[in-house]
Amino acid sequence: MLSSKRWLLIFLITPIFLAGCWGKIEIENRGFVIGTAIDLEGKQGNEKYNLLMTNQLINPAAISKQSSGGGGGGNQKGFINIQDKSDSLFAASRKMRHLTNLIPYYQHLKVILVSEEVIKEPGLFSDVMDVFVRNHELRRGVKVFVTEGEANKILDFVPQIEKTPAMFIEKLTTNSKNAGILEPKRVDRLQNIFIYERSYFIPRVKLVNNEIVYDDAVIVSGENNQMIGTLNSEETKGLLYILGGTKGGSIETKFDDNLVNVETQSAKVKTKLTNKDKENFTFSLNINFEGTIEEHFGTKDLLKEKSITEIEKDLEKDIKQLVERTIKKVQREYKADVIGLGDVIREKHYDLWKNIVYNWDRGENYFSKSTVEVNVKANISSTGAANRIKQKGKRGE
Amino acid sequence: MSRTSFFNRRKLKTNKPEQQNQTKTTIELGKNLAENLKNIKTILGEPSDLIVRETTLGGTDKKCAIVYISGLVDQDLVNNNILKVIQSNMNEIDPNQIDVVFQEKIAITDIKKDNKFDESIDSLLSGSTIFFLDETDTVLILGTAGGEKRSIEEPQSEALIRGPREGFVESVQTNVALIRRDIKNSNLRFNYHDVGNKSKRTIVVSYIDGIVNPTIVQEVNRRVKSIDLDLVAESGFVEQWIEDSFLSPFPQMINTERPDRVASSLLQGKVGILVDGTPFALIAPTTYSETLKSLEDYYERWIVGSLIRILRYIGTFLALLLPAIYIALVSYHQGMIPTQLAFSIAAAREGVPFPSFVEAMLMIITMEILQEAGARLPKNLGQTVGIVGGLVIGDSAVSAGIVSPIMVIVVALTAISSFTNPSYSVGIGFRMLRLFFMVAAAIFGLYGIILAYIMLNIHVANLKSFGIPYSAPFAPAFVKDWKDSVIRAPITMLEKRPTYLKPEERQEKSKNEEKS
Repeated sequence: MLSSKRWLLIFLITPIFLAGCWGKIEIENRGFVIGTAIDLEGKQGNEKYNLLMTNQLINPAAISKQSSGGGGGGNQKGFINIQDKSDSLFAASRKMRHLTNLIPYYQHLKVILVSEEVIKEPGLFSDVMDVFVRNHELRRGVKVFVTEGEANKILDFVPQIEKTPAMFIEKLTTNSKNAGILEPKRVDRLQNIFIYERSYFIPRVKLVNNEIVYDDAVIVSGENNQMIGTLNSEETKGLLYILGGTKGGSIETKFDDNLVNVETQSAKVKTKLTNKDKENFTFSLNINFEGTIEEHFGTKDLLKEKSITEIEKDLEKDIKQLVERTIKKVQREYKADVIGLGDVIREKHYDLWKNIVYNWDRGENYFSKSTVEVNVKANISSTGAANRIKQKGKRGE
Repeated sequence: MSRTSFFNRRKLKTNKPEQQNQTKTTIELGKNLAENLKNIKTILGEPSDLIVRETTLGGTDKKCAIVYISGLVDQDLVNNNILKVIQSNMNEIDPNQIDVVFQEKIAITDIKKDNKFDESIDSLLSGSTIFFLDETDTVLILGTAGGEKRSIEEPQSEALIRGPREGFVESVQTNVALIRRDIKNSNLRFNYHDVGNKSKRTIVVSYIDGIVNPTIVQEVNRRVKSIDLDLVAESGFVEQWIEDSFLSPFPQMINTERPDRVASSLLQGKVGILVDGTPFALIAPTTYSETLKSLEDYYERWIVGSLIRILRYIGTFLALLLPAIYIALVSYHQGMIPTQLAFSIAAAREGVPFPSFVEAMLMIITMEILQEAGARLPKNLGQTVGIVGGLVIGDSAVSAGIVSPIMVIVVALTAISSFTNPSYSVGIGFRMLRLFFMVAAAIFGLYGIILAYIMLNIHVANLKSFGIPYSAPFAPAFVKDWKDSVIRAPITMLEKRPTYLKPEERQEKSKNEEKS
C-alpha cells in the first residue's frame, strides 16, 4: 500500500526534472539566426580546412517597426552579421557566442549559403552540411544555395523590400514557385543525395551589380561531392524543361519576324527507357508543353489555325534545342546525371539498375554513353484576352 | 486506501434519521381562544406585522379570531373572502359543528383543519391565515399566501436573441406554472419537498413520468431529502449539497432562468429542481457537452446552430489554453512560432521587464479584477469601469512598457472567448483552470500544458453527475448522441432522446405510438 503511494509520488515528481523553468529562455533573449554563410578561408596543411562561418542575426526591434512610422529607430538595419573562423562549424558557432549578448537560436534558420570554394574541395561540402542535418535545433527544410564568390558578401546585401538578405533569398525562391525558376535544395533532400551518392545540382545565387541574381546552378559529382562545373542560365532553363519545373516561366519565339512570348501553363515530362543495352541506353524524353500567348509584337491574326501551328512548331524547335544543349553538356562534359535519367531506370527497371548502379555516372559511365531522344509537343491553348490590339497593315487581308 | 484520487468523491449520507427540530414547541392548542392567541404572540415575539383580528361570528356571540402576518397574505382575499363571511349573518349555523360549517362558508379553496400548534405557526409564517374559534382545539388554516411578487421578466443572465422572453421568478408556484404551460402532459410530475431546519423552503423536483429514468428521480429525491441546512436561500445551496464532487471545478448541474430550457431538458429525460425564492432552477444530470449547448442552437437553423456550437468549442479551448500556450511558446518553444510572428513578438517584448509568465499573470489578474468590479457595480457604472479598465489600463500598460501589446491581445481574446460559454458557472470554472494551465506552462512549457490537459481529462472522465458520466456522450461513446454534440444535426434527424440518459421511452414524437 505504502510503496504504491510512494511510487505515485515519484512518478509525479520525476517530470519536474525532465524539463523545467531553468531551461527557459525568453523570446527576447534569443538571437534568431536566419541565414548562415560558409566560406573557405584556407587550408591548414593536409585535410584541415579553415572555415569562416557568418551568422545573420535579426534585430527584431528594427524588423517589426513600420517603415513609414519612422519614429525613433531611424535607419536601423534589420540584421547583424557576426562571423568567426574555426576548423569546424560547430566550434565556430560556439565561439560566436562571445560576439553578441543574445543566445544564437537556429530554429528559424531559413537559408544556408555555401561558397563555391567550399564545394570545389572534394568531400568538404558534405562534411560541412553534417552539422545542419545532425543538429536538433535545425529544421529539415532549410534551403541550401551555392554562391559565386564569397558567401558572406551576399549576407551584407541590403534588399529593398525585405528587411534582411536571408529573408529576401528565402522569399525569392518560395514566392516564385510558379515563375519557372529552379527549386532550391533543402537540407533533408541533400542528406538523401549524400547517402545514395548521386550527382546533383544546387541553385546558385550571385551578386551582380548589387542585385541578387538567381538563374543558374552548379553541378556536383555524387562520388566525392565536389563541384565539377556550372550550368549557365540558358542551360538551367533546359534543365527546368527536363525536370518539368517550368510552369509560369516564359519562352520567346519569333513569328513572322515579330516577337511572341509564351507563358508555360504546363510542361509534363515523360521519360522512357527504350533500349536496355548497357553500352547504349536509349531514352525517349517526351515533353508535352502547353502555353498561352502573353505578348505579341506583330499584327498577324493569331486566331488562325495556321499561325498557331507555326508558333507551336517554332516553340518545339526552341525547346528541343534548349533541352538538347543541356543534355549534351551534362552528358559529354560533366558526365554527371543531374537530369534524373538514372531514376527512370531505378524506378522502372530495378533489376537492371542494381547491376549498373556503380557504373552509372562513374566508372564505366553508361550515362555518358547513352542517347536521349527528345520529342517536344507544344500546344498553344489560348492567345490571350485579345487577338489584336493594333490595326493590320491592310484591311480585308 | 490503494485508490488515490486528486478529487475525492464525497459520499452522500443516506436518509438521515428524523431530524430534530428545535423550533418545535411543546405548547398544545387549547380550548381557550385568549390563551391560544397569547401563546402565538409569545412564540413569535409579538411582532408588529402580526395581525390578530378578534371578532364574533356574525349574529352570534361566539368569539373567534383570524391571525395572519401582513405582507405575506393577499389582503383582498382576507378582507373579502374571510372577514366579510365571518361577520355576515350566521344565525342558522349550529355553533357546535363549526368546523364543518366553515368549510362550507369561507370562500377559499385551499383550506384545511389542523390541531397542532407548531404546524399552524409554520403555515402562518408562509402566508396562511389561521382561524381560531373559542372553545375549540381545532384551527382552520386558510391558504391566503400572496403579497408582493416580481412579475415575469426576460431572464437577465441568459438573454437570447431568438426565443421566449419569459424567465423564472422567485415564486415557486409561478415557476411550476410556467413549466406546466410549456409541457401540457399528464405525465408531468412535481415532487414537493420542504427543506430547511430553521426555515422551510419548498423544493420541487420535476420530471416526466415515462420518459425519465426512474433511478435518476429516486436519486435526486433522496439527495434533496438529505439536505441538512438551516436555510436553503438559493438553488446554489441545493446544488452544492447534492452534487457528486464538491472538489471539481465543473458544475455538475446546469442552472438556468429559462422555463423553456427546463422544459426541453425534462422532455429529454432529465430532472428539474426548482427552489422557492430564486429564479434559478437546476437541471440534473448534466454532461460537459450539455454545458456548451444553448437553446438558441435549436431555435436557429441547424447550420447556424452547428457553426455557433463549433465556435463555442473553439472559444472554450482558447479561454482555457491561449495564455498558457502563449507562455509556453514565448518562453520555451520559439521555434514553433511562425518566423515573422516570432520576430514581432521578440520586438514587442524587448524592454518588458517581466518574464512572460509574470506578464500574463499581471494582465489576467487585472482582467479578473475588472470583471469582478464590473459585475458588482450598478449597470451604468459597470460600463465606465469596463472602459476605464479595459482601454485605459490596457493601453497605458503597453505604452509604459509593462506588458507587450501581444499580451494584451492574448488576454483580451481569452476574456472574450470565455464569454462564449453559455453557462456562467462553467465559465468561472474555466477561469480557475486557466491559471492552473498557465502555471503548468510556465514550469514545463508545452509539455506541462499536455500534462495538465491529461490531468484535466482524467478528472472529467472520472466525474459523474447523478450516475451519468460527465464526459458522455464522448468518453463512454454513445455514438447515436454525437449528432447533437459538437454539431447540431437537423431537427428532423434528432427524433430520438439522448441514449446516455437511458430514458424509459427513447423515441420522441408520435412515431413510437404509431408503431405500437
